[in-house]
Amino acid sequence: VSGARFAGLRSLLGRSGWIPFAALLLLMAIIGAITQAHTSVFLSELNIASLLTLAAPLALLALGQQMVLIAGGFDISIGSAMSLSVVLASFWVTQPHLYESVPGILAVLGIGACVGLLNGLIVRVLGVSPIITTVAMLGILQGVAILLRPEPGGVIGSGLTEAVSSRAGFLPWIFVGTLALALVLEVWLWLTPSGLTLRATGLGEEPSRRTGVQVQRIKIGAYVVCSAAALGGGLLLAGQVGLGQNSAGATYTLPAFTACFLGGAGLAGGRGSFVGALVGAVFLTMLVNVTPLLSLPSATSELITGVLTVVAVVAYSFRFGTGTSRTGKHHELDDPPAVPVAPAEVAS
Amino acid sequence: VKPPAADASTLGAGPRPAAGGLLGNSKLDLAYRFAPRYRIIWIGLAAIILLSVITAQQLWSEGSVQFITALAGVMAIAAIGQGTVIVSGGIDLSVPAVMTLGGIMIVKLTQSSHVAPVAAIALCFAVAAAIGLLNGLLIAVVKINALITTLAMAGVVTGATIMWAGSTFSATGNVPSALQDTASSHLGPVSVLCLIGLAVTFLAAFVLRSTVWGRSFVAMGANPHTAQVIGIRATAYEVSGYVVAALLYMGAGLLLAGLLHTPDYSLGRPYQLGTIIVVALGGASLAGGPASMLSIGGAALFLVLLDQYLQVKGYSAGVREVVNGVILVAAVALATVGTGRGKLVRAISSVLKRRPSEGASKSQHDSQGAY
Repeated sequence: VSGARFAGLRSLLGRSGWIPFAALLLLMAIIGAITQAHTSVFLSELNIASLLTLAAPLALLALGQQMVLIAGGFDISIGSAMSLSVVLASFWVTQPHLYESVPGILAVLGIGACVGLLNGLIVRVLGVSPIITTVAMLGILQGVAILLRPEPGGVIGSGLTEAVSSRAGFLPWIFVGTLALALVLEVWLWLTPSGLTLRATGLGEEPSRRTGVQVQRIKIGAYVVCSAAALGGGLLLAGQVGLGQNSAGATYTLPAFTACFLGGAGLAGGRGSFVGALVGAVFLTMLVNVTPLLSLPSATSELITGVLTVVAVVAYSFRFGTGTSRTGKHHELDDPPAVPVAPAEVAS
Repeated sequence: VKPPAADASTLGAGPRPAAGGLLGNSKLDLAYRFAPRYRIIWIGLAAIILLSVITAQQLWSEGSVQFITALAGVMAIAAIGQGTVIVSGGIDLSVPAVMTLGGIMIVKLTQSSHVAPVAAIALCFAVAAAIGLLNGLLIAVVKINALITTLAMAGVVTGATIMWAGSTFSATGNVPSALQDTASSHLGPVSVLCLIGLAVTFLAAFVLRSTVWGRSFVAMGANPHTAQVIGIRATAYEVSGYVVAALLYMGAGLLLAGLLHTPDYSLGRPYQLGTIIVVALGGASLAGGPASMLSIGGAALFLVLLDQYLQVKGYSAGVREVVNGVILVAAVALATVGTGRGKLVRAISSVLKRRPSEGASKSQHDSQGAY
């Protein structure tokens, strides 16, 4: 058993991709050093704490997205799900103490699970492509958020806002929690049979199904986890914005994808690292953090995020020797030729 | 080649002339060219027109019709671009970024940099072509997923636009008056933008149906590997699709800017989800392959009309977004169910089929026993 454990550990260090991981950390160190040389504000306790606080919602979002990506699907509705979460929190999480807000928080997460279940059922049971399903869900969730809060309003309870802003030195507790979650998920993914099952499902659906894996259940489950994580991330965001805003999460979709790709994911499924996604999220938040410190226009970080997405995907597709699937389209769902062929035609 | 009418009656179900085949039968030919998935949107369009004529007559005042047809024209042009990409088997999320860029660029160039309007428009289209080319190269040559490439491109273009024009770009700049006049002019109750949209739609339908480029393009979208094998340069065609699409988005963006007079950063926002819904409603398969550009044009009018109808009926922006999302899922789910490709349908049909086949095997068994 211990031999198998070590083999698992070796594969964790070997294949979960420590080279890009190290490259990312090195890049962060370089950017940090440049910024620190420019202004000493960067490494102050307050700045690091605010950076990590801002990174936590994105990191949680990326963890959920990474789950779906590893399972071989994807979810573009996460940004809207986050907005919806902020709006829901402004109704349900208004209590002054955290323990009083627990039912509200659980209700929001429950809504997330329902959204994910709906996504999963439409994709897997109705057979609609994930692109269409989640693009449509993006519209629906955004619409519901606008419907519930046409104008910003509804103060988030101080129970949640204080919990989100509490920290030990430069480490915010929400970031510590997200980091712990990422570590647990990483160990689960690489050292347990069910983690292997998830990766196998993403790598090859049909072979997995034939070896007795409950593919349907795992894929739908991944969507549920993803949406729940998105609404969880939305709660962390709600604790920071403090007000119900219907577009609070709109800008999080692309960075969440980028963080996952920096964390080694590919749209073909089956690979990716949770800790990598978390580091990616911290890296992207750091870009947003340093642009004003280096007195660059704030749109710079948006531009760099876009470029990095492409670079990360290209780098990984070369590293693994296979391009990602060209369009992510499901060949099993391809149109049969829409020719109504009469039996006489076939005979001739 | 049309087989003589006597053919069927004299030969019955016998072999047909080789030259005739499927193409010879005009009824089958029509059913193939205009499959049920292309027809459904026209029923929907007729229904929404009927509904609005009966319950929302204020929609049919001359000014309102001019506005609706103008928006439908812009939507049709952008959706034909999205449709081109979807025919090639991809998807494009950079629509709003390119359209917004067009609106900002034309104002910034003519007002701040004093470029002549014609030169500014040419420059806009050149930039759009470059964006499309970059998209196409990354997707077709480097083989990155279309969704991710265009999502990232949307981020890059939006970021670059804001950096160039400044985040405080306010709604004070005006589009050149020539463009304003063009976009605001109308022929009776029909806006000129609608006529441009119609022209683009018919042109796209003609190109896809009747030119070598169009037919090769559709073949590539249906199956790039087969297309490559029969001598179509699949990669070049795929790249060209993204360039054409970006040019169309830019055209739509410029015309919309002309209609709005003072464009801002939210110019293209409704067109990301909107264009995808229109293409899906037009019956195109999101997996690539043949699509009816005429149905996409009809779907553009349908969506704009529906949106205005809901607005007139006093529904808020939230309701309209929810309706859009539900329509998208419903349209694609119905198309999936209609062709029997969905897993649920497959499961149901396999259950339904099991009974007769069991019966057949049973009777076979019986007959064997009797034998």
